[in-house]
Amino acid sequence: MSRHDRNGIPEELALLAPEEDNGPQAAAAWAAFQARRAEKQGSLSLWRFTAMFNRKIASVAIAVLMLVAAFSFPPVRAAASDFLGLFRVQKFAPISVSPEQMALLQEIAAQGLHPGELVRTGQPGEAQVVGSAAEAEEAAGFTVRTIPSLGAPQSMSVEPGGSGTLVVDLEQLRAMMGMAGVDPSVLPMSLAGAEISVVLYPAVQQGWADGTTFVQMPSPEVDYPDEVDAAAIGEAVLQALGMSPAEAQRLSRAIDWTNTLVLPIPTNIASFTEVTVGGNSGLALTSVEGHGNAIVWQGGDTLYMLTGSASTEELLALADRME
Amino acid sequence: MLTMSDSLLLARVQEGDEYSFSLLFHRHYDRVYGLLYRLVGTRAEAEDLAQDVFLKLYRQRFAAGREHNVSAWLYRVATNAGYNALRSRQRRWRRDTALLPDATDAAMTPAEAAAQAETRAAVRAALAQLPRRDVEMLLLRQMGVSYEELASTCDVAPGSVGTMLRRAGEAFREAFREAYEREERGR
Repeated sequence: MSRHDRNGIPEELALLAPEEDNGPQAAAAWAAFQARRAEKQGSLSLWRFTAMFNRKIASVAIAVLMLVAAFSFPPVRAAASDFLGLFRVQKFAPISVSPEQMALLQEIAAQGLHPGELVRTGQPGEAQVVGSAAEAEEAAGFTVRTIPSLGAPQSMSVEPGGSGTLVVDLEQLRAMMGMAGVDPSVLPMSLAGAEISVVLYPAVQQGWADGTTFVQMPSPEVDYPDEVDAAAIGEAVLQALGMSPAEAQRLSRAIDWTNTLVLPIPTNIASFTEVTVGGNSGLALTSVEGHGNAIVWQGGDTLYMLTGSASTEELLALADRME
Repeated sequence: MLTMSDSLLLARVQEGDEYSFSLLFHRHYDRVYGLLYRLVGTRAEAEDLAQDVFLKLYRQRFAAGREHNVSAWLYRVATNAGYNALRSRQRRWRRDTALLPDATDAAMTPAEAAAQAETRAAVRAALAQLPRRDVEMLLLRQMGVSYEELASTCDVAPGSVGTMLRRAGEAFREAFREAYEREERGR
């Protein structure tokens, strides 16, 4: 009664396979998973939200570094978020990204494509736990600020910096962008073999018992050849984040790519508003699932991020009391 | 080409990296869902169980600094979840056969669709009679999982996989024959 398939398995088992209508839908399942996890996580949620924004800063820095291989960081994410000719961050350009587009970028990232050859010149290392601001300053090499009104931080650590150069493989980069729906010709030929050098400075993180976290790091520095058209790269990145070609072109021309940091904000994770902290530009982010708030701003040559369960107004007030 | 290993992604997840978890999820979801669907036969239940499996993965604390076979872990947890659901269903089976609503081919006649549904029911009834590991091996192999991966997933020597599969196939045939005859008698 029972025969075997080519794998030597009783062929009746093939009847159990999902038909096309019932096939897996990973993107929808991922969205459902996030909702379920948030529902079940309770107090862990705030920690995850905070961790995400900590990672956001880290990923910004890392992606800017283009240390894709060395950090084993998904290449598309790097290309999608920060393949920009940053020099010094002075302002932010938040870009809303749909969950569908994020899922697409994630799927592309999983393909393992690589935007070029990486030569690492400075080694990142493990985060170092320190006991005081003085120790943090010694390890990080810059003046560490804190928020006295929160009391002494419960934890303090220093994330080491690093540096490297990416030699762009234009063919690969175009392939990656093409998969993300970008017209590959937007990326100029001048990018082929271009060397993009980046320096990432150490970051200092302070945490308090109520979940408030304060991160500071000097702005990363990026250097690229004069012939590289940063606006064209920016235009491709904006398209990869889901903007229409016309919209991406318009915005890329309006952005000063020498000092603007593009921050992709997934719409299913957070909403954002532009804010001013101490006279400097910044962003306030609010978890759409109520897990907390974050503000990101720059002051001088330093980037700051403050996250926690406090309201945006309270976080802004805390940021104003930074010393 | 460079693809992050599951172990590296896991290490990043332990540090709170949401993105790495999403990569793991997208990398393994289709197979986990496929395995569960084969066991329970409905999209809703397979999706629900798959969510539980990944929630367990998310909460699992893996030892740092070691290689971890994530797919093996996921298949094991998914098989356990689906197998338990299947056996639980089999206990209710007689009183509610409508619990097996696999999709049917629109091109089939009602009689053909009914016959196929009966065969599927008998296949699942047979699986419910087998040891858990036999079920896992048979379904994963049917899904195209290699002998090497099967050995790792089921924690057996690679050289034993062929023999174990053959025995599992024989046990299935016997259980299927009995289940099919029960179906026939029940009509």
